[in-house]
Amino acid sequence: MQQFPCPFCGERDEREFHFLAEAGKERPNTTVSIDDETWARYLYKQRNEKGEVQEIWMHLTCREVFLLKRHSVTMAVSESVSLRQGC
Amino acid sequence: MHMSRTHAGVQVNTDACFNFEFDGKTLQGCEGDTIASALLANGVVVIGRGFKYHRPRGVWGSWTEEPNAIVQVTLNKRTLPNCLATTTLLETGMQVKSVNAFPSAAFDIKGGLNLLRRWLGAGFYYKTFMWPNWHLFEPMIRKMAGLGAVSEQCFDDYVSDQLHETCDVLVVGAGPAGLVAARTAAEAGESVWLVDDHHTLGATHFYHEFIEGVAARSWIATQLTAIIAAGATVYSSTTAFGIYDHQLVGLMQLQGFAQAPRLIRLRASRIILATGAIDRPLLFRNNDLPGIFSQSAALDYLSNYGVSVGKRVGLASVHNADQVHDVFAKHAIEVVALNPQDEALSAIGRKQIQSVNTSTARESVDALVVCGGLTPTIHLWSHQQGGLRWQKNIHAFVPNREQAPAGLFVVGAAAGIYTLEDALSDAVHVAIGRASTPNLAAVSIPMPSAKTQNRDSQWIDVQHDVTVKDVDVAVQENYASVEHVKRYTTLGMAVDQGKTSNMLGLAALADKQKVSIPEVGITTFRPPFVPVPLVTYGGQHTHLHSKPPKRLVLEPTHRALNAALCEYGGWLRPGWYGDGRMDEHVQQEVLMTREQAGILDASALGKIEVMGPDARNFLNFVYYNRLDNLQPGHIRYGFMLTEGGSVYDDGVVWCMDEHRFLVSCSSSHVAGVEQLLESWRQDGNNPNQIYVHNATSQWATITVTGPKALDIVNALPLPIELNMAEFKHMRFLEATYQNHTLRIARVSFSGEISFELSVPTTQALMLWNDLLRIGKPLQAGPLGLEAMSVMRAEKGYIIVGKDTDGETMPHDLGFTGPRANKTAAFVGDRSLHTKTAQSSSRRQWVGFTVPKDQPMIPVGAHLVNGGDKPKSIGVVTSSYFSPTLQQPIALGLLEAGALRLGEQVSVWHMGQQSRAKVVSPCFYDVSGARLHAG
Amino acid sequence: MRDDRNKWPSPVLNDATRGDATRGEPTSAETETVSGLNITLSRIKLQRQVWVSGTSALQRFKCHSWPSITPGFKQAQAYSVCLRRDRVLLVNGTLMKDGWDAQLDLAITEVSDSYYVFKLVGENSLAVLRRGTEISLTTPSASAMRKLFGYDVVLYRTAEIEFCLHIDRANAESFWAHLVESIDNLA
Repeated sequence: MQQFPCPFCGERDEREFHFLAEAGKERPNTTVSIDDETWARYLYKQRNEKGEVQEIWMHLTCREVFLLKRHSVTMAVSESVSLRQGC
Repeated sequence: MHMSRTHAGVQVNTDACFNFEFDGKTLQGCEGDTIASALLANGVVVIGRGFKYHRPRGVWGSWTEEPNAIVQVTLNKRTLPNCLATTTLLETGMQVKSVNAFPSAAFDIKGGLNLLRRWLGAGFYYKTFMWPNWHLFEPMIRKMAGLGAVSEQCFDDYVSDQLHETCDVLVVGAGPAGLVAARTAAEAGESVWLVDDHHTLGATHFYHEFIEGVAARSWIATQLTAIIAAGATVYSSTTAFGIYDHQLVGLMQLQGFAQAPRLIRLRASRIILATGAIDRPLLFRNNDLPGIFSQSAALDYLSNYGVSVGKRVGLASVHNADQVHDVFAKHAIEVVALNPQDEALSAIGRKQIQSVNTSTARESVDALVVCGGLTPTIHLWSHQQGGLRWQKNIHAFVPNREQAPAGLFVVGAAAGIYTLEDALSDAVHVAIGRASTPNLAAVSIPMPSAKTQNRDSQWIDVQHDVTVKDVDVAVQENYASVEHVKRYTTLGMAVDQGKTSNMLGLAALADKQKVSIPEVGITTFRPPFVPVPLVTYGGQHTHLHSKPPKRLVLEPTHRALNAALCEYGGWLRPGWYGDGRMDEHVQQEVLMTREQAGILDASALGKIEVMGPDARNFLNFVYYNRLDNLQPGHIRYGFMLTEGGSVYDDGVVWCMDEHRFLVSCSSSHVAGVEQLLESWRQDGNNPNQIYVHNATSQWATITVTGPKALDIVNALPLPIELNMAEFKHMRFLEATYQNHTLRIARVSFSGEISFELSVPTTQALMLWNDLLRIGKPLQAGPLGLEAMSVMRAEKGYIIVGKDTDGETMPHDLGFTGPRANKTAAFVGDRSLHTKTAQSSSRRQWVGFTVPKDQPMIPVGAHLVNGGDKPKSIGVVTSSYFSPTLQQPIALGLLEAGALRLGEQVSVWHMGQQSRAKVVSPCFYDVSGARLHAG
Repeated sequence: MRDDRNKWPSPVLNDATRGDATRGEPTSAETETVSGLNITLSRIKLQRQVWVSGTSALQRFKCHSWPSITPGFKQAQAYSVCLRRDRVLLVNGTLMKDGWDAQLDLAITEVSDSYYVFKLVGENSLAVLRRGTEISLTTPSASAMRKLFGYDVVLYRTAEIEFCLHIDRANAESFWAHLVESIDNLA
């Protein structure tokens, strides 16, 4: 069982967290025409990297959504970064 | 032959002896005995039969490395089928039975299979039972296979306690190296845990008479005293069965026979493994005969239990043979020294060993003690992918300290350090975090290979009956990888999971392939180290604690009204009211509501407040339907989609004011919707302008529905009177009821005029009682969810998740407007315009009818096109007998359904076909006159 | 649908059948209690609970987090517990109007009826909590929200060996049973 640092709460065990997405996925502007390929890349294409990964997670208890940097082989966590400004 | 105790032994109390049974015979054991030690003390040598050939099997080891001695045990009317005799503590009155043997281990009817083993080699099942079909043979084979009979008892109290703990240093194993490491770390001020799986701490050491110049027993006692004095936590009967991510160690703490173990999840900054090493068997002809013991087991039984394995004992050992010779001699055991490398070495005997043959002589013995080398216990190290390297002089894989997983250390024999002095000084260094390079070259241990003759009588995995020849066959048949050979031969799949057989298998494979052992590699060790009952992982989350439903504030009231309570979307809610047949109550409740009114507890409905300056735009983005033009006091029905465009939830949104909205999602989706709202809020929107408060539990909601609903609500003590001309469908207002806020919403799921009345939850009973009291003279009464489900089906309203699946899009349900016209971006928008989403053969929402005298269409039935091989073109999702229409009705999803209205369609269910007519999904009040009455 | 009325026993915790609730009056203060080895678990009533969210919520209300001792609990005075980066739980505070406060930029929702509130007192309190999650007094946390036995709870310390737990009322019955079972396991 892993331990993740919530940028607000600090260390908690993995049962309190939920994976949301790989980081770096920007939602295309859907008010203009987008080709299938662009939409599919956003919706379905996963990098699924081996090694250092950057992911968006939610801390379920305090609902913080944050960037988690970790290693997908050793499971070592290097950093968690808040997505919030001005709070 | 009859063995008995030579002396008291350290672990057993010979003054406290009691009776137990083995295969129906009454025997005597003592306090501190394991089942195995007691059986050996009584001269019982044959304990079971092999898995495949039913050859007689005895005890080989003295602890978890035992591959054979599985027994079935009954105590206090509780039976467990797979107890390891070498680790299970003996208790008064235990009834012990051999397994895989009938009628008993000594006389096994299937023993004749042994004669067939020429034809039952590796891959036998795969080769023989493939044609025509494995499933033909499976029942017979399953009946013959398996160890022990599962008891049909259910132990309701077999529930594990679970604890989470942390410490600085965990030391696994209380042998000399572990004790020194624990003491050093504890005295350096660290919080230390020391655990050992044995019932008595320090009992694992029996090789040396003296440690650091002190008698071994008193040295161990001194260390333990010092460790406890330094504040360490020390546990016996506690197995570290696995190391998981981020230095979490699973500890299983035994609580006694047939009692669920306790699970401790221990997070340790540093983990020091002092798990020792395990004796390897020797390969020679008939090395599986009962009466052949590992060297460490023979010493363990002698020193800890006072049991000698024989009076005239053969000794074939590659390690410490002289020392063992001396110990045996001291206990007046006659030793016949044998050369472990002797090509002609073989054992002779029928049910147990009687003599050994060597190249020079035949020696009569009553037991044979062997050691084919030592295998460091590196399982836990490997659970974390710790690096290994081949240490040539001891012929063993040892942990490579340069490839250590974070926080993990190994000391003592587990690290391949086989001299006491080196092990102790290394353990001290490791305990205080200092680098240490121990000398592993001090000892040399040869590794005798399998004999060239009689390869089908040299057993590698004694329980699964895998011989050297089986490995040879696997190699001949081109199985090259060690992982494949393991699975093909079932080598290492005995209850010890290869603790004894793994290295022998690797050596045989390397030998046959003519490569070195490191080139062959090693199979992967995975947790758990020993079998762990599944309930241990579940802890308290079992029986009624496994997925318990959410409870309503009015549950006691519903119970008093004789409600049937059923699970709907994770809530325990009234299905109908009354005993006996459900159908009759449901029919009656529908008719009551259609004619008078029904009163329904709808408290489980979601009540999520979305507030802030961006709330409106945010909801307009999250919902399929437009919400940018929703006026205060108004309510709108809408869908929430996934980005893939499928319907995730339906519900209504209330506009309370410009900066405050209420999302009333379906009761089963509240947690999911709230999570979706939160993730969209923080990812892609300005979270400082939007706040999401899930106030579902703050409000109880009671729905009054039916033609008399207005009369009932207006009879409540309210400062206002509702007027249908002004208070139109899909509006809400707030009033004061008994000094509390009352929210009244005019929305409907039944098709009749309905009011959802919400009050703070603690006021629900007052409102419920008022409504029932007012309703009674009007023939209105409580209404359950089943009747509501029927009514909504009559209206053609969907239940998301029941009538929709992961592919259903809103336009499949007839909601096409926003897809065509909404200009603002919304979740899932682009997915509604892919090729798939535009397909003309999408499954669309329709109704089905059958003639009045025909049976109802079953839910789950497929709609099929004609022909010999019918193909599914849809599925029935809801089906009821409509009390209102007095006929069966059904709803479902059908390919291009909207274009097929009026057509007949084939319904396929369990091989039977029938016909139904495709109709519009709305069966009742199609014009909406009743709903919009004003 | 299957009738499970006999599968699930009647709830132990029960607001609805108390007579005073029908008259709309607040129910009495101290209710169900369970005692075990050096520990007492009881259900308590608090005067008022309100969620306040906003960027300034944490600064505006002096907010308590783990494992500091929340003052005011003993005297039933107003106090506030930090739930999220932008949300606090105000306990026993003044009456506030639900909705969006445009002056203060705060979202306000009363949740007095959302939660059941339990109090754990005694030396073994932490041992009971440790059965539900990984927790220790040496690992601080800015938020009082946790998952305990899989349930979302608000957990804070009200005295040296006294803890207060708020749990969504719909889950309270099963959560209470977990606590009681853990107390039994202490022996």
